Amino acid sequence: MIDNFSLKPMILVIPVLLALVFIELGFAYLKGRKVYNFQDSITSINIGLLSQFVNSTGAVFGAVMYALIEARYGTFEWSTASPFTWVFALLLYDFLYYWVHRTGHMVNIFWAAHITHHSSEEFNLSTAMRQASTGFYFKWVFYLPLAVLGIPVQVYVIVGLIDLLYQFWVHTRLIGRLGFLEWFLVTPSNHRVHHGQNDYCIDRNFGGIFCLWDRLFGTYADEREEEPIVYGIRKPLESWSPVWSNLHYYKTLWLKVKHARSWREGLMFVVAEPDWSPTDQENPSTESPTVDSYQKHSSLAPASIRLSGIATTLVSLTLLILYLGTRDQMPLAAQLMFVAIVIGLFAGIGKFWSLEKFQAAQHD
Amino acid sequence: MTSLAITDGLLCLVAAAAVVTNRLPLAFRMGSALLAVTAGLGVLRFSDLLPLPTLHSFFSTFSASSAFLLMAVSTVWNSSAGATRAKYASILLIVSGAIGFVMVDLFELTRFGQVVAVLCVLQIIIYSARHRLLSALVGAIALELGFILFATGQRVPNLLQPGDFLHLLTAAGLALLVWYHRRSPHASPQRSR
Repeated sequence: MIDNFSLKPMILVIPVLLALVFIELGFAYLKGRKVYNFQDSITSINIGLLSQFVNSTGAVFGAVMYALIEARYGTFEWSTASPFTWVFALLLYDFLYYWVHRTGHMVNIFWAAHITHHSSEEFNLSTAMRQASTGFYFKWVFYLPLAVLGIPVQVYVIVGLIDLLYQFWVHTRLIGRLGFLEWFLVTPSNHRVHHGQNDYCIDRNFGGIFCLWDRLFGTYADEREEEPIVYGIRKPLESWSPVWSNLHYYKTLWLKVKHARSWREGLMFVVAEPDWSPTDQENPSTESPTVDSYQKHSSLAPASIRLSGIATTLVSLTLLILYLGTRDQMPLAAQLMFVAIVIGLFAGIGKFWSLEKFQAAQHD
Repeated sequence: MTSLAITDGLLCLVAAAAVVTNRLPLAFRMGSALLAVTAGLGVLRFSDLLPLPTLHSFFSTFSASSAFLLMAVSTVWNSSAGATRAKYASILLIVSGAIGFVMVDLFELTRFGQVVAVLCVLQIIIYSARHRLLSALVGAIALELGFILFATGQRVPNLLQPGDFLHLLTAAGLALLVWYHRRSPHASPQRSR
């Protein structure tokens, strides 16, 4: 297995991202700010590692569809040597990303995937790693305009990576407002709003690199100094399991559909906004929280969970590097089996953490 | 300039007129917009003004999978969210289009879009026959006839090619469906917002 190892960009990127997490942690310590919670960050990193296992195989479907459409319907020739190609592709990709992201918040079945990224109660660089494992099946559709225009698949993949990596650094509380950049770029300040669960933060600031799209389509909101942001989702995840964090909202959705009074109502639960209700009754979980009243879940983790969290992260990181480096030599069935085993391991450790948490709660 | 350019131009005009008609359900107008773009690209292609054959093929596949589905939904389930609200009509458009491209380009089921179009129009025929909606019935039959003549490669030597039948009968069918929707008791400017 090691003999066939090949260095992939993501293998280089992951240690850099982890190093940046530690650098932010160090800066926060020096500044006397507490922006990290151990268990929340470990969970975020493990969710990110799981998403790399799943997406490195699952996203192939999207790339294949893109390549097929580009080969068959690509309208224009684009030179990869021309800077114009890259600038145009990045701008269009970011515009389409805005709509992918907005759809991820406005359509319940897609929110079931994207909610994973928002389930952290903290906001720091580790939160950026908390990526969904189940969104790959629909996102490719939104990028087909690039394929139809004939943008080569390698340009699509690279601008996609640039767009994703840009979004890493905006997940921080240590950087304040950035003056005129706030007008057109996604910044830590306006992205903090996106992750907030305060009323004024809901469904705002969907941009990836540029916030111009938010300004254009009326979804932009500035950070308010007088109203500190409460991060996370209004119905807290209350779990440290990477697998459950990806699946919990699908279960919620399934129960809603199951108890729907008609097939139309069931369908509306799937495609309507996450807070859609067939009646006008207000959902009790939709009150705007305040920093003082909000009880964070992650602060309750006992020592056994913390230690096993570190061990899980190290083991899964090693497995991921091995997997990414050798995946190309594996047949698809072997890849799927590998990913299934990893999901099983994450599910198992998640279950163990749930039991430990339960026991800790009993002792309290 | 071929006959295909002229008949595509006619289809483009009828579909564009449907798009700007306020009293039609939103999904119907979206389906018409897709047909108008496809036909417009057909005009450019067959007249040699600006041939973009791959783009025309893309929109042809897209239209077959999505446009007639939107028209069926807005005719048969005319008060549904999918027929009247932009968000849900867009979801229908995107999901049906995505399924169409997966079937046609990944699984190489090249007739998939045509089968979807035939089934959707058949749904309009059944609905309008049951409810005795004459203009909708005749319009849907014209659409179905256009598909059949095109798929079986019918032509009038030196005058009409199979694609012309498709364009002309789709234009006629679309015009009759517009006529039906404008006179339908469900039609109102509010519903199309």
